[in-house]
Amino acid sequence: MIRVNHYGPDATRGVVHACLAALGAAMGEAGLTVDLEAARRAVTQAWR
Amino acid sequence: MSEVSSDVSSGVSSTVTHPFLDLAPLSAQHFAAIEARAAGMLATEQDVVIMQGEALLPLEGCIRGAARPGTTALNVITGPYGQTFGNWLRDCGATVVDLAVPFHTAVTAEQVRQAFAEHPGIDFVSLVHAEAATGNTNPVAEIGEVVREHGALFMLDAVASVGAEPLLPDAWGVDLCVIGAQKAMGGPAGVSAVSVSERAWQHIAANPQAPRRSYLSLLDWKERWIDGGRKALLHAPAQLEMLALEACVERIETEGLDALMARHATAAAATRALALALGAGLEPYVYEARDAAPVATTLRAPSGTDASELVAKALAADPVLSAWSPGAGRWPRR
Repeated sequence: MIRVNHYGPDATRGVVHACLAALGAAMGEAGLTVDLEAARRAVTQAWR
Repeated sequence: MSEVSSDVSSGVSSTVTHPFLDLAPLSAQHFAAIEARAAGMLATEQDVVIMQGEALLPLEGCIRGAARPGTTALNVITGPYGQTFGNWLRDCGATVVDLAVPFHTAVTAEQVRQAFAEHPGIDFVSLVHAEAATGNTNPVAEIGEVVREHGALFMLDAVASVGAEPLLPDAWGVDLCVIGAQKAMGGPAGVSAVSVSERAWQHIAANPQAPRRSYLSLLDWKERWIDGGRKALLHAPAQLEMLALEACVERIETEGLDALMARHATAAAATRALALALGAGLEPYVYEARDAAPVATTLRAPSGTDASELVAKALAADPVLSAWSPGAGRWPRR
């Protein structure tokens, strides 16, 4: 189980993107194939 | 943080100033002003009391004030705190009807209605609005309607929902609504607040078992603070925490509560979308978006991976992430 907090000042696009980068890197390091570009697009879309 | 002056010749050091120390006393008037502003988070006409401790203090105070032998309590369990409430209720001598649902879902008003049908003696309901630990949120407005139909006293733990999603205790018929500032409000954890309806006050006052002359006592605050015109505090207030609460409420007032809630909703939706788009089997723990809490998003780690290891790696770059493992009993801090 992984939890991403969005507490107050952390509920921002920047923090979500930072989570994406960190989680994507960790999953890549674990040998998983991840689509960072699709995830970036999804985050951007959600913030429109 | 400290500025320390050293007298080299004598070898004596003394701390001369620190932003957390040597503050002027917090007056009753200032305390009441902070309390009134914090009450604005609840949009309520009910009495609001600031309690001098983490939100578990008013939560336990509410249950020990309201429950006694003869009470039949419906305790809704949608996460770890429901279990704690059930233990307190039993400790008070109440008959407890536990209504537990899988933590990746929300309880429904129909399930609550069914519980009333099966146990018509239910006169107290405890519910957690949003569960930060498991990332789910419950439909309080619909549940409140059912509770009202049956005349039961309704206690809501709104610590993880306040500031993140709509919270309307008066409109929803919530008699005891507890909030804390440490989550969506972005404030301190050491003070909390509870709104109390008139009938809840009457219920607690009629309970001979309700704490009196006790740190857990809501009645003490009612009788000595509220009824006294908010002129004399019961004890020295948690000054730093109260000032931090004031600062956090001021920040929310500047941004606007609606804007704050919108940020949380978008952050949660973006994180859910991120997980699905990232691929490799990462997915939201709470399947239905309507059941997902805006305050925190929980994710299922890809099959064959260790969530703790993934988070440990990710945390090195981003401390907002956390991990929990219910099997190991490692729950995150509230």
